[in-house]
Amino acid sequence: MNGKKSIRNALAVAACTVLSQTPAPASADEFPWKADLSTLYYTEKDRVTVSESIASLRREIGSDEAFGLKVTFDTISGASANGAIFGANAGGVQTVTSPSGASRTINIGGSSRIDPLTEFTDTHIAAQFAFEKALWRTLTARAEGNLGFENDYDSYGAGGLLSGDLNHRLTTLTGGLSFNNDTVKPIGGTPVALNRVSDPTRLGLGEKRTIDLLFGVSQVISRTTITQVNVTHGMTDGYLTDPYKIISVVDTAGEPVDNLFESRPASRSRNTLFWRTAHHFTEDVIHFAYRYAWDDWGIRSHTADLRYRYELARGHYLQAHLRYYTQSASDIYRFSLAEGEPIPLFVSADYRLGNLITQTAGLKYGLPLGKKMEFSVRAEYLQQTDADDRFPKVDVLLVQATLSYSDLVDYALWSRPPP
Amino acid sequence: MKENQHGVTRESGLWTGRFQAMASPCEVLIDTPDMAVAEALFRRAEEEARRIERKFSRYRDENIVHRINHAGGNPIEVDEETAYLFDFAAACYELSGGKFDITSGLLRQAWRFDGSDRLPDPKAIETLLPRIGWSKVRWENPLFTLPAGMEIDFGGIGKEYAVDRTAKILSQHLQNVLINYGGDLFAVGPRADGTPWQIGVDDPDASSEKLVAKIPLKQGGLATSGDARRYLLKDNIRYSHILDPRTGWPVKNAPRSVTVLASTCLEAGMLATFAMLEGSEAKTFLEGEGMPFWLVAGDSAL
Repeated sequence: MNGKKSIRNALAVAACTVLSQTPAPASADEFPWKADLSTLYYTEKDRVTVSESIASLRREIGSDEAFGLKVTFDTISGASANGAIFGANAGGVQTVTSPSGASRTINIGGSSRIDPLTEFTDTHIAAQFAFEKALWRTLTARAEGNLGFENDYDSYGAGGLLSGDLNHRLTTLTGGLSFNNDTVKPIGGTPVALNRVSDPTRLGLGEKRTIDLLFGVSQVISRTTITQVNVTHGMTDGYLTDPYKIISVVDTAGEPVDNLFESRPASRSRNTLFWRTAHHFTEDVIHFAYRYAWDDWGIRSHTADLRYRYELARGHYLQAHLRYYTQSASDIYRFSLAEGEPIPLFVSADYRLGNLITQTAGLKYGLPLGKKMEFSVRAEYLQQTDADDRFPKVDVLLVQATLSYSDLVDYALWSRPPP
Repeated sequence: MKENQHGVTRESGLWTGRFQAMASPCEVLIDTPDMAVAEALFRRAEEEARRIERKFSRYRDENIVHRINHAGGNPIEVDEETAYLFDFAAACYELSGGKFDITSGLLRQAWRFDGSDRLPDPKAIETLLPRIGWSKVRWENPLFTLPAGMEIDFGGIGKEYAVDRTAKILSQHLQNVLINYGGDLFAVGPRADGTPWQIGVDDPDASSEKLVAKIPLKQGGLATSGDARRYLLKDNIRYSHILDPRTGWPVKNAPRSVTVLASTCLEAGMLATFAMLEGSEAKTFLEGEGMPFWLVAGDSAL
């Protein structure tokens, strides 16, 4: 016979074992949903216009599984700078339009010039899906997949993340790995790098593969403050050149005498260091993030991002957003090549590889519609400046309206890593 | 439907949510100024209680208990949660020396505790006994084999389990919560100001009108086992509804009610039940175990 005392102790052990399980799935009719429908309009003055529709869905299957799906549909039209120099003696013509796809050559006063803007229209459809499962009380796995299609671009990817909670769930460590395979498939094929734009030779499709590694630590500092640091390392190899970008060869007067297709290295590795912190005041929330990124093409960038959410009455809120981005030019970036100079192996006049500054200011207004719905509208103004002042400023207006439905109550200060 | 209309209401400085599940009134007390948090936690609590009721109630047609009870002697593969409960039931059977048995529910066919003097025919009980006994089942995780004609019933564990599970889920979000499912309760933590919850223990005879004790509770499980209005009375002998599965007859001289405080509701509930099964030795048993208890002695001979 067991002694009396041991009944209580044995019972305590047995009860503890029963209760050690992770919470079991809820039944089908109680799976909570979270859904967002959003429409976004993005316009660069005199340049690209994007209209985008986004539908995202998340469903929790009990408290230890969840799946998510996000579908994005974009239509893009407009013109973007291709890197060519129009020159001063262009007879007053500023720009020309042309049908989709490639740059066009125009004759002005007997000489031929490349239109520095390439007109295009495209549609882009993309889907992302994710599945999350709690493997153990403190360990969560997330598997994700994505695919995207444009007329001249396909992308497929898959990845996985593991998160483990330590220290009474105050600390979360995250490790992730993802692969992406992209195909660049301009109509007719990809041009030969550094060939003259007039050369009709085309090669096959361009393919590139990317591997990204992520490691992150998130720490709850107090009931109202949380902070997170992520480091990522990405390696891409394959066709990294942009088949639509051009670099001009200019004479001593700065007039274009020749135009070549650009050329980029076949590999790139990129690192980022990211830190963010959020603090809840009694009602308001402040959120600050900083990112430093560097790659082996010589680009260094800094991003600072500040958001302040101001709670109004009855669940309404206003959120202000300020962002500053600065980037130093890549080693392969040249505004133009000089006539007679040896042509470098890798060279691009793409302004996105140059010295850039982007400033953003925005405001978001959200209002509850009943207990589970929220409507929000966001407007942002971006200005992209070439620090060398050789390209015109790009002014962007972005407006987004979102309708959200949620059965879930989000206890976390944030629930997802930032995009 | 009615179920979803329940929400929390502010009562004496607390958010209180109520619903009916597992044949009992259920109540969740949440001490927070934030109604949205209270509402969400209450919904989560109700969801978990209903999930457990659906999954383990013997009155449902489409659940694991129904499948096992209608398997005709064939093995049934059970999920992890059910397996844990079987392990727990096996431990309780061992620890009680066979007096706590989840296969004893069949005795309900013979016994009707309606306060009357109609005792069952001893022969009816005799014929039931061969179909009762945890030792006759075969439990080899994940396969459970119940001999044809036998039945399992998680009624003696389910409510306590639901309380502890709900407590575990809510504790991830807030500590100042008290869960009470039909008198089995658990305090996740004290009230928001650090003071204990005040728990009243009902008089088994005068339900809700008179309290036999007031228990301050900051943290832990509290459960009561008793026979309020569920007994038979014949020839001045009171037959408690606490049946000994080994004989098929009520335990003699069981207390009217036993309330036990322990670190989980499951432990408290089992200790209270074990004490009842000890009959006249209930008090000795509880004193031997050494945790706080409140006992209303029985008076079998009226």
